[in-house]
Amino acid sequence: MRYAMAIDLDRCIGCRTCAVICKDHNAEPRGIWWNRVFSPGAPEYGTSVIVDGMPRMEFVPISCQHCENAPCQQVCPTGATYTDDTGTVLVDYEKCIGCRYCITACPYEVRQFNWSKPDGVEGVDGEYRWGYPEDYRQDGRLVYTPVRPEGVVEKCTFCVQYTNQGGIPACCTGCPANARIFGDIEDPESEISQYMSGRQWLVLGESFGTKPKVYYLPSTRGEGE
Amino acid sequence: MTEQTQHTRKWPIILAAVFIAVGCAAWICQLTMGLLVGSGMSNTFAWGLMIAVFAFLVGFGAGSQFVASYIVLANRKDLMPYVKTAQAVALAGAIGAGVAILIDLGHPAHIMAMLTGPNPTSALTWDMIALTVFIVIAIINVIAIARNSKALKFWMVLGLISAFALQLVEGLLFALMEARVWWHSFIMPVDFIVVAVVCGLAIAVIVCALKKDEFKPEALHDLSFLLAVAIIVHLVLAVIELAIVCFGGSAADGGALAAIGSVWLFYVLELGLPLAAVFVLLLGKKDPAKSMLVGGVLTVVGMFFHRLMLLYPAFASPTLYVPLSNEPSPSWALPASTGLYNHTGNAFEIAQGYIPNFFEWASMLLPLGVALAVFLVVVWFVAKVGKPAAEASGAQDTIEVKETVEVHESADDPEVAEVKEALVEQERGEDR
Repeated sequence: MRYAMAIDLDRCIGCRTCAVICKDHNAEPRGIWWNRVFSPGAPEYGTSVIVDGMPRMEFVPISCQHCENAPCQQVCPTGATYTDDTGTVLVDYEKCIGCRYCITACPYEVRQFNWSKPDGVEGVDGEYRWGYPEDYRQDGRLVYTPVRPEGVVEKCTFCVQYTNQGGIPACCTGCPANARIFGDIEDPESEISQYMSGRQWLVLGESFGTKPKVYYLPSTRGEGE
Repeated sequence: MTEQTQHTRKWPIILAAVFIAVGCAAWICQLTMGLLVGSGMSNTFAWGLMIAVFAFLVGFGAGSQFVASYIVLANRKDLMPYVKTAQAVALAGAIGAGVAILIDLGHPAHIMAMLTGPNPTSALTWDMIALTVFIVIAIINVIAIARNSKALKFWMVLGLISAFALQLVEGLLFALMEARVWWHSFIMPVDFIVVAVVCGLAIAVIVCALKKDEFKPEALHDLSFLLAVAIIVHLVLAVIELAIVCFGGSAADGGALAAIGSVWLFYVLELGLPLAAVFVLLLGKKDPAKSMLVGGVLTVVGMFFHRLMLLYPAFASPTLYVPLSNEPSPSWALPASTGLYNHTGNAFEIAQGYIPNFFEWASMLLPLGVALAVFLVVVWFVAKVGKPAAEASGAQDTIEVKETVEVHESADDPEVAEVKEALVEQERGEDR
């Protein structure tokens, strides 16, 4: 089994729901975003650029690419970053020493460091907490906890707390345009395999040789112009 | 011992104590308040001043081991009085560097994970092993020097190998990072070794200039010349490194160049100060000792900027550039989450500048203070262990040592005997 994600850039409308729902379900502390969306070439988010005299706008959502050849895993001195049986790259919060070597090694800049104790957000009845409410362990490793330890690194887990129980990542659930398709890339009958079948795809930062498992189906904008 | 001598010996101890106290206080502040308040770093600029200090100190450690091993193995009797100091700097630099790395950790409470489950593919694991081995061999070398051990040459060879391995691993730690164009070249490990030689010689030049009466002018001249050559080799490598980025042609190369431009003064100082040192060392004939002192200090300061400039072009520039679909170029950098929203209000940035804050500068004093303290302890230890033999039984022991040397000399290795003789002469000089 190899979990992967396809992102159809023709379907992405740049609403950033994926970023927000990800933050919500994974209890990401303030200032930490596992998912982000940007508009290539635009000076500000959501503005168009002129290409060959015509306005163009497209969006590129980026989160952990769950690389087959993950540089973050290779450099982690304690093995806190590891790849599980599904090909998902995870961080064991109890083994991370906070050296930030993985942040340095990741060409996608998707790794986030807890620079301080996470702030709770005050709700009407006192402290407000959000996200999956319990710790989630995989083979004894703490790969999700709603209250992050200070000084450790975190990143997208493909929502391991859901996918290990047969669910799909929150960003796929929440995407209003169904631009994200998740599943087992080794299963030819899976939704992702079917969706990608016969279509062109690309990966980000191919020159780094990281072999990402997040595939981008390029936009057809600009084709034949 | 005169009152003035006592006073002169006290101030380094006081300085080390103050450095350690202030550094500890700053580190505790960082641990309790978090690095958000305790540093100027961000997700995009993830390594800061402490990594520069680490590389700076480890360079002096390995470099001084190079110098100590060179003096003993090349049988440079004229430089032999510096061996003890060089070995003390080697150990002090390495231990100080280890402290710097510990301070830099975000979650030091998990450090046992390094010992219970080290990842063999990580250059940081290799670094931990290389640094530990280096420190152990340096300690043995200190004892070997203090006791005039017959095996000194053997341990100096191991010291040389361990220093070389340490710098090689340090260089690879950066060079293997494919994501950072500023580091990802074969130059990095080579230059780490050369910079260590520069650092080791710079300290040697400064110390020998301050104790010029203990050395022959030819020996001082040799040191100056060696340092000048090492600096020139380093500068050539630095220029090649820059050329690789200049002619790389990728968007990431352009980003690294822009980052250099944003801190151009650091880059000028990194290259300009050692270059000025070369001129001072080679042309300062009027007062060689003064020229050595000035040249050495210029080099040390230049090396600090060199270590800082490991960071800026690597972190103050984006790593990933993405084009629009069906457009081969140009490519655009991706904004990344800074992690600083609570602090600065900036959630996403393409690149982030970095200015070390007060707590980082203050905590930097801890590894420096520890290094100074280790240096003082080693100097004290060598004097304590080395002297009693001569002091307790006076001339008789000295003769015994000399006799041992003579026996050994007649046995098989005349070079070792010469080294020992020089050490005995040095002991006599210190006793006087």
